Amino acid sequence: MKVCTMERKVLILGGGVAGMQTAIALNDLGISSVLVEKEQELGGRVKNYDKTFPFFHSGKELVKELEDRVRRAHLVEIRCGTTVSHVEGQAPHFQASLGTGNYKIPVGVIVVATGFEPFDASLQEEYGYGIYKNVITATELERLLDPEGPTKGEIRRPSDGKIASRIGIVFCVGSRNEKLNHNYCSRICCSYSTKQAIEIEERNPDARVVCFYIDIRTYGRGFEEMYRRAQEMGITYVRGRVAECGMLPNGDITIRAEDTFLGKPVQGVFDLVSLSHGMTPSLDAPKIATMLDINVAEDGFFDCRDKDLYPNDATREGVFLAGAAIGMKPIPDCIADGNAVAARIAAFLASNLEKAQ
Amino acid sequence: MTTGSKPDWIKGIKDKLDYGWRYQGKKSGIQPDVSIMLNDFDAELEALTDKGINSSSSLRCFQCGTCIAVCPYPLVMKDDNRLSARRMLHEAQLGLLDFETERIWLCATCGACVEQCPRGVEIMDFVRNLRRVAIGMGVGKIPDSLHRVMTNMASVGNPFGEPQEKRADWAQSLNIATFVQDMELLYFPGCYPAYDSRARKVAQATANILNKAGVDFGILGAQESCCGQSVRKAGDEVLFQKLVRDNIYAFSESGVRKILTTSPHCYHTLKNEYPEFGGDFEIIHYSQYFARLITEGRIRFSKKLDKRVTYHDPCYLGRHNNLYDEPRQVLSSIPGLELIEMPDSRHRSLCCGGGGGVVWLDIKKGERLSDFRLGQAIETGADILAVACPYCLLSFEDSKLTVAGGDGIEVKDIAELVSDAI
Amino acid sequence: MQQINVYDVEARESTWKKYIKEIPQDSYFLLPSCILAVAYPGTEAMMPRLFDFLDLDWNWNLKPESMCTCCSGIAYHGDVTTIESTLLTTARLWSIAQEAGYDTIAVACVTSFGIHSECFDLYHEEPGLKQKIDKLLMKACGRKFEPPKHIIHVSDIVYDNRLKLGDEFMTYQLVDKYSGRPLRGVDHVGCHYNKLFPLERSLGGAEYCEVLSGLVKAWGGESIDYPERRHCCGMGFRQCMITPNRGFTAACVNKKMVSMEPFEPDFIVTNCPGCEVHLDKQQWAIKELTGKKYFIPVLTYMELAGLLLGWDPYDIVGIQFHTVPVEPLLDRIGIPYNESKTWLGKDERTLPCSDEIVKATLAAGRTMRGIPLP
Repeated sequence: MKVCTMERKVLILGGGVAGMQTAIALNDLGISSVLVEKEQELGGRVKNYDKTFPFFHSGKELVKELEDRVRRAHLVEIRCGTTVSHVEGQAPHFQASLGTGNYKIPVGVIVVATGFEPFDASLQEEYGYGIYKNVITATELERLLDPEGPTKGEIRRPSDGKIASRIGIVFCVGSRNEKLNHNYCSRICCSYSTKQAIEIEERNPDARVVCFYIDIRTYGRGFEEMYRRAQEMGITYVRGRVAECGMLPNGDITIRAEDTFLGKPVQGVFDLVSLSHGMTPSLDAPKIATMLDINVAEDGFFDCRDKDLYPNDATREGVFLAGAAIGMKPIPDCIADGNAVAARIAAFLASNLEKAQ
Repeated sequence: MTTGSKPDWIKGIKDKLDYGWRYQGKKSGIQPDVSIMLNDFDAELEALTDKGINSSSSLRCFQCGTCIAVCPYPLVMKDDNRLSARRMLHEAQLGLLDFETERIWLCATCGACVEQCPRGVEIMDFVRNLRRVAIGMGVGKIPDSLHRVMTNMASVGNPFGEPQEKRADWAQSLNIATFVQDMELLYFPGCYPAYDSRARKVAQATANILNKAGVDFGILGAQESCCGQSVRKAGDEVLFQKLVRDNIYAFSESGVRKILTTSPHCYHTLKNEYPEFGGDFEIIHYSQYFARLITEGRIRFSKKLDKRVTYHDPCYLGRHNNLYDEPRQVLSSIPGLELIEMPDSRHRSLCCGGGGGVVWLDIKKGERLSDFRLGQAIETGADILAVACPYCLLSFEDSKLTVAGGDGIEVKDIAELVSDAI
Repeated sequence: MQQINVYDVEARESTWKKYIKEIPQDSYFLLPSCILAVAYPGTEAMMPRLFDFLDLDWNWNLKPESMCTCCSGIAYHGDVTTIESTLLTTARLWSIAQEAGYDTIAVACVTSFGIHSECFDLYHEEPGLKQKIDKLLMKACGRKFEPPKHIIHVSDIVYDNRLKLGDEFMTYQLVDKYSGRPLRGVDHVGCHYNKLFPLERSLGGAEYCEVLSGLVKAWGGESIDYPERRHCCGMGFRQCMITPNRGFTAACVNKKMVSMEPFEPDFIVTNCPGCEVHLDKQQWAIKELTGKKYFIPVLTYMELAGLLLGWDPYDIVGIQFHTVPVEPLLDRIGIPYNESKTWLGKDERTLPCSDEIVKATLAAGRTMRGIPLP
């Protein structure tokens, strides 16, 4: 099977896990690509994660491994610190301009792997994120847990640096909420929160971790086992969404919720409260949708050509989607997306052989 | 506002405001805050964990509710706050446990919940540990009737408070030898068959069968005490261990090797719990033994029993020890007997409410599990309800007096039926 | 003492600033409150006084036959009357305002504010309702009405003018006279002000309402944030109306008191008459029931403004009607007051007083001028 390689490359927007895997898979298939990343470094969000769920492998090493492979791949051109500013033409004859518009490249196919943006927790005012110092987000907790992070892996609370031994984790911040127009579930928050709870408990066995949830959606392979392990370690799960957070003079945070299993209100005082925020589509998504003339669905993520049969195809021919840009998913699924998109591209280019030459 | 009679609409408003509540002279204090305060549950949690209540098994509970769905209590007790394993487990997870309530004493340890629990939570152990803490730490109120029984056990080795010397009185007219070394087996009737007038007939029937079959057996009578099974489930570990030691001593001194029991509770504890304390004997339930004797031809039936019989699987024989077929085999061998299966049979059997110390509690008529179970037996149209456990026997005899249609059915132990047909 | 308030002020500012509403600068039709005039008459009497002081165009009852009535909020929320009665009452009030030529309603009570906002909203939500009420109003008192252009609360007006009042006119500041530290004030905003329509009607939204907090900050004080800040005072209309339910109201106030105690506030400021009555009087009830004396003075925003402007505490502001004594706060700020007026009402008439209180006051060594001694 002859596939076009030299003249028309594949343009990949986003150098995160999905984007890098797409490039690697395309390289294995003998197709050249241009990987465009707006930050100075590759790796997206996973490069900041010390441990990933459910097997507690290192996110940093995973990204390093991927980056190694991408850099060693002959057919991948990497462009960091730049964005795609303009795209003209039709598949498989697109013309893309990078950066300020001076560097133009002919591309055959475009892949959107722009990832996600963590929800801005200050929009849920009742939790007081930003106003009460000891209310932090899960991303910040991730940095606190990182042995190479600002506190060297010790869970110190922002207000006074005290080691936190009573920690509350609030699930479903920003997701499943009509008031914020986010009716979807961000899927991985229950899982990453449980992972963080386990990490906290391992670091400090005397710590008291209480998770307040609506449902536990540890759906994936190995996730339920992780949840079971978390419970056996003594992490308490209270089924009831947190109504509000308040602050005491010494910086402790009070939480009000209801325990729906016992039908009684619950109040707790914690040293540190972590908001397990959901994910929204990347902030550049609307701009990219306009630029590439593809549709964005009601929930803000990119829309597929057919949700059942073509989950990786965008609504326009020649544009494909991978990774968290189509909806939040765990890392193995992003890798799978990268491979899937590469296969789709190979098929597309093969069928458009004459046109692409 | 003019004086004089008030117009109707003013009266109407006053009525609405009044509702008869307003000027009742009721005093109101400040409504208490019923919130669960999570900030002071740490110390309690530590204490509960040390006592084995918050072991990793009970922490695993994820509140699916299967346990209370299969629990037989909701069938008889409408106020479902009274016994909920799910609720108690969650309260333990949060470090709060109200030892004052009677909830923890209601569990009959039937094992239906443990069988179905998807997370493998040891619910019966959890309940037993709660009771252990209640008794051991002196917190919480133990029901009076239970307290009396425990005192009796401690002093005379049986729940009734009858003198220990009279333990072999049931065998007086039967010419049964005292156990000596090298006899084939020891017959251990248990407390109820030894002392209770109704249950004695079972012991006598069993002895009759063993004699007719030519079995070389003896009894120990006053030398033995209660097996202690219900005592351990009721939470008194110290008393249990005392009874175990006394019994093991009595058995070893007499050279006992094989023990035949009437009660599945005795069977369960002698087989599964005595080895931990050094009591290593071969334990066999009479239904197993009779099945064997029938197969070997040592029991011969001479009379026909033209009755329709339905069998109730005891929890401690069935779910706890997987003995479902032997009793049925024995019943089917009796000539003329038609065996009918009840709904909820075998591992789905509904507890009679005798285990876990519940047989000694005062439970209201109409709320007893045996009432419901007897009703099911009556509905099958059988003439006799066959049982293989003295607690079941007595619970059903009791329910017969109050349940509608109770006079139309007889309650008989398998031993009695076999003895009648020999 | 360690710093009590460690919340991030800038983040809070950016949060509440999402909820700004338009407050007209002039021309208000004042609708007084039913409870406020009875329980704390000074507050309501000061409203026209302040409007005149600031030279604002305002008005209220113009003719004898157009008396303002209660908005019927307490009856409606207490499940004594129906929504149609309430709609009719508010329609009549709006008609009176429009007759006088004003399109802005300035309400003195937060319950009224809630009622007027709700009725306004109902006309938007339900087509045909306006015609029905038009017919009924014409039949009842021969009037016509239109929903007003602006519905605001008098505390909004005070908030709008707070800097002007604070910089140019106020003689006192919310600062401790002796130590110079800013006084700590707890702001308690009535539920119906900011929780019913947070986006359209409240200044600051439901979570971090600024209307009273801004007053405290502008006049030199420090605004406290404590865990139960958003908790309702518990008045609850039907709660406080029915004696056996009053334990609920007391419990709500108690919960708030327990929560604010570690922050050591010097005073509470409210904008709702119901909240004022209950936060004030339930503190006494709590003392009787539990023995715990919180005794944090509760002031309305108007009384606070009046005191700081230097108006007489007894004759104009009317602090003698408070259950929790306000005099300690006055001492702290440095406002002088004539203690002999503590038991006198308008025109030096004595206030009715029970024998027990007379005995207790005399036993404490205080005088009660004018009260006949036993």
